[in-house]
Amino acid sequence: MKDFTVRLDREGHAAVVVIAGRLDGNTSGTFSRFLVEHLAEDDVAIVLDVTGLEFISSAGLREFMALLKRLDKKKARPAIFGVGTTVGLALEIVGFDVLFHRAKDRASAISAVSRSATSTPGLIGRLFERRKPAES
Amino acid sequence: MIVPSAYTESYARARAFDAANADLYMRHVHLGDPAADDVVRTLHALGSARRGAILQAGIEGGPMAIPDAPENVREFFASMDKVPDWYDHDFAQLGSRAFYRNSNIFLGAFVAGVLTDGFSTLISKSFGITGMLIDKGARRLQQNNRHVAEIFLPGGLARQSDGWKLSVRIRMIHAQMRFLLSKAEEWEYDAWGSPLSAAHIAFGAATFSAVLLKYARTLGAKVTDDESAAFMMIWRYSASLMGIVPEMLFENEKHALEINAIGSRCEPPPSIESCQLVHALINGGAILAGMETPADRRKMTKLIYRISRALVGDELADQLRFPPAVTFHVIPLWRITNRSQELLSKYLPALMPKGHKGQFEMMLSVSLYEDEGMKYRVPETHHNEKDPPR
Repeated sequence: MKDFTVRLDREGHAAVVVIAGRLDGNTSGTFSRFLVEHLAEDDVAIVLDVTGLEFISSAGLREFMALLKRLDKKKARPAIFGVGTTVGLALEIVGFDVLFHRAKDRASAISAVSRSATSTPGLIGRLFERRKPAES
Repeated sequence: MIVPSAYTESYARARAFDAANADLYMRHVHLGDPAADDVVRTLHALGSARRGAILQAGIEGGPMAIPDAPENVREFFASMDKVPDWYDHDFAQLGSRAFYRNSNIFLGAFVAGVLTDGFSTLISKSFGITGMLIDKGARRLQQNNRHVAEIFLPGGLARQSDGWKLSVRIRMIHAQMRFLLSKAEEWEYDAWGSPLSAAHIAFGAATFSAVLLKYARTLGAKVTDDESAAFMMIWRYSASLMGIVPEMLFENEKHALEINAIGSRCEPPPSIESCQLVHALINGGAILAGMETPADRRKMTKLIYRISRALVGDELADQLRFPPAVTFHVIPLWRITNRSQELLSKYLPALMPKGHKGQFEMMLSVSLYEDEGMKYRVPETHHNEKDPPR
């Protein structure tokens, strides 16, 4: 079992949040404080690198929800990559998988958040928008 | 077998229905949780600070994390590290999917039905004396919801996961309350048997699982046979971590319903404490549902009473002094509403923008989260109002 770690990499306009270990009742507070301290108000191109994330509890999903809501207000959608089996299943089961751009690697995740800042689906597209399979 | 006086009449009637299971239930009315009770007695002698530190480290890290703790305490935590051979992490996914696909219905069934059934027994004496559920009823509901939210997430019952830890936390709180009540003047052993008895905890687990499933289906949840089996398996593992003695631990849904049925028959009619508890929890449910004004809360409370009456039946509802209500239309209306939302969510997701995410958001909003991490402090006194917040 790895210790929980979180760090931020900046790549151009994108902020890549690299999370590893277990995001649960003991670590979600640390994660929350980290985001508050390291993300700027105008950060909208956000990528979550969860390659090293072993487990996410409802406390961790609550932090993801807070991030999603914050970005939704700015009409932005974060990207996520490196999703493992347990974390992927949790995201799918609670309906979060469609709220992220699922990408296969860091480059495509950054590309997706850059694109999404400039385009949103039209009414018809949104009406029939269904779950899209992950690229990875 | 010595039968506590409060049970004399109901036990006789239950024996006429099913003598073997009535006897099994009654044998456990005098019993607590021998392993956890032994740990609590040992820890009590060490004082509050050391007790808290050992429980915190033991639940978080197991016996290796408490090398200086008394041997029986280390053995207790070591025994819980073993995953039962009937628990299948992969199969559990089906239960997780069913729960989160229908979590709003499960929440409704829980608040309106299961709490009413679960606290209509003499377990209400334990909670009534401590005030644990009446004071801060909404907070207790939030703690309960958090436990359920965690055990149904993938991997939630793995050793290091929050669902595992919260299940064991419940066990230790029950054991501590049992210890404190055993010394309390208010507790009447001859009349009631053991506080938080093995029978009551087993009845509670059976009700919170199989009866929850039954009521959720009644309210329109679609759950396949395999999903039901997985749902019950998750609850069974959590219940075993909560200390249900093996003889009373349900094996499957049918068995859990049998335990619930015999328990309902063995238990005396609801006491005044049951009425108080159930009304407090229903009112807590309205607060948790986000009703801010008194008028909205009254409206929501009225709705919960009506659904509850429809689920548990007029006899129990009248015994618990629920307000009178006509209920023949309540369940069909709820089923139609829930099915329509499910179909919309499936075929026109944009018209139901919240969908699964919205259900999960609701689950988060009615669950308890604390910034300082997971804490496993147990009560210091048997009167909740004298105890610092947990």
